[in-house]
Amino acid sequence: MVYKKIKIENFRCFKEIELNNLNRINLILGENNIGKTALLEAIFIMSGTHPELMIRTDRFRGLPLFPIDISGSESLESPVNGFFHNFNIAQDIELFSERVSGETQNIRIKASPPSTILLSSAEGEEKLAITGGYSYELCSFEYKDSKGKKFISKLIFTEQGKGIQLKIEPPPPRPDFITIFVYPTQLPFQSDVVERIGKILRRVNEKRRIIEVLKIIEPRLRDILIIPIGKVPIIHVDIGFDKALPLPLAGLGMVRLLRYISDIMSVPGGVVLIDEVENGLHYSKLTNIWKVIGRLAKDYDVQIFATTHSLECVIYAYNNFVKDTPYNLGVFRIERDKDGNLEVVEYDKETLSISIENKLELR
Amino acid sequence: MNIEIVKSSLLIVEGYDDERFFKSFARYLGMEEKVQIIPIRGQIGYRELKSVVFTSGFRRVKSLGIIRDANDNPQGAFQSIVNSLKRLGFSPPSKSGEFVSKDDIKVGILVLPENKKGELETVIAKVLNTQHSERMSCVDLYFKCLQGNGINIKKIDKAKVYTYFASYPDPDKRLGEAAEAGYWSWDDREFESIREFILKLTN
Repeated sequence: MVYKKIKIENFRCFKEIELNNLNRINLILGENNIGKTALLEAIFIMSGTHPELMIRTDRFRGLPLFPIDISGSESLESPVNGFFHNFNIAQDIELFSERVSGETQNIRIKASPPSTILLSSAEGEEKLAITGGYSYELCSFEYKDSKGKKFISKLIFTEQGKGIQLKIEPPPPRPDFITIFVYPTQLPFQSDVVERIGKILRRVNEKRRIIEVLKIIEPRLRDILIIPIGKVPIIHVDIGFDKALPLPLAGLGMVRLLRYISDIMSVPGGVVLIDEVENGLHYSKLTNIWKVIGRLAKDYDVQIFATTHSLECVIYAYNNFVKDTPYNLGVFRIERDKDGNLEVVEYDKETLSISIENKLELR
Repeated sequence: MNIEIVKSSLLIVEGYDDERFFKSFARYLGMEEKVQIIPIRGQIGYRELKSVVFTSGFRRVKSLGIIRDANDNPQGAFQSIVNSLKRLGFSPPSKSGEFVSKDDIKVGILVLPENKKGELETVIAKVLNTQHSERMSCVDLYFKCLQGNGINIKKIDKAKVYTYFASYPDPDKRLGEAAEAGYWSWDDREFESIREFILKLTN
């Protein structure tokens, strides 16, 4: 387990927010547009050492690399500006974390001095051309930890040929652990995901374990295979038909659960971030799913942060983890205070228990 | 269906039966729409109040009332709520039936019956003794008979009230149902402290 505490300042919708007493499994609750996904994004960025993760979160959200109208020449706002609270790039983003080991880490993201880039007309996103063909520094990413590691990397937007590239200079050191982010809208067959699952399936015991787990959703499951369709490797499942079934045809529940367990198995000692964890999963399966996630997270020493809108999801998680020693569940709700600022309500075990027993709304 | 706090006047009571009782009372006072009543299973303590404070929508609460039974220790029951409220950062009142305002929220506590041992049913028993003395005299005889035979009843007022309910054609009504069914008139001086408390809560 990595994090004990995190503090986020001037990031997306958060002016300042702090989560203490993080646990192995952490559920993030709250209304729509309250910042649950933004919180996961902040953790994703602070878990790496790479400013490119910022751009990657925008891509997860479905934003194009350069969110602009390219119908003609116009000024372009820096793609990192949306990460700064209220677009206020004069205030740096601060991502502070304290680990279970007691070490601390601080990431300061500074927007480079405000500027605009003039774009000539272009045919499409990938063919944008910057007038003058120069490089433009988007932000600096200053990393510092209590072990003395310190570096500054810059995210640079540069023209190369007819296209645009992002460069990180100088290349940052590798992070201490790996973090995976699962967005609800991600397609199941992204090549990196299939590759990751393929690696696990080559390990016989882990493959066996995956099959056993997926039987929660599909008791007929016999085997899981990667078979190319055309030139694209696709995950298939054998559920007793004459032919193996491409995984998405077996249902979203299978896709989601396979994704969760393979992600946990892929990042021992790391962090898995799951947006809308209940997505595609029937409530009756949630008890067993939490059991499996809890067991795997412990076996692989993975910390999990998951958002949910589902009360059942919280209740089943609580029922599953309540008897564990130590207690492994953290439940946090993001909400607005009287001044409209976002703050976190942290449910300890007892408060969660009484709230559930008395049917008090906690989402 | 989970309870989300949607009103600015919030009354916390002990259990679903009490919820129905106080809802009926608030309806009689014309305050039903102004107050939200939250039932807590068992006794109301620090952990229970904390759960209510954590409930979605609590920040819209401007007026918070807590009604609990005195049981065997009226002063202890009051002090227990006072201590819990202090731990949660509220300014509690100095005596039962009163409210104190601070930081945009007023907080009140009512322990029933006031200044003596017992429960909500102790108040109801008094009301029934006044309003339905014939039936209650039969109930009293029944309990005297039990006591004469060495059977000691621990919560005598509660037992009397439910025995009284059993004298009606539908004999298994709970307190909340009896309140809704109009087993007594709310216009009774024994209900004065409750009436005042609900009016203070909602005004």
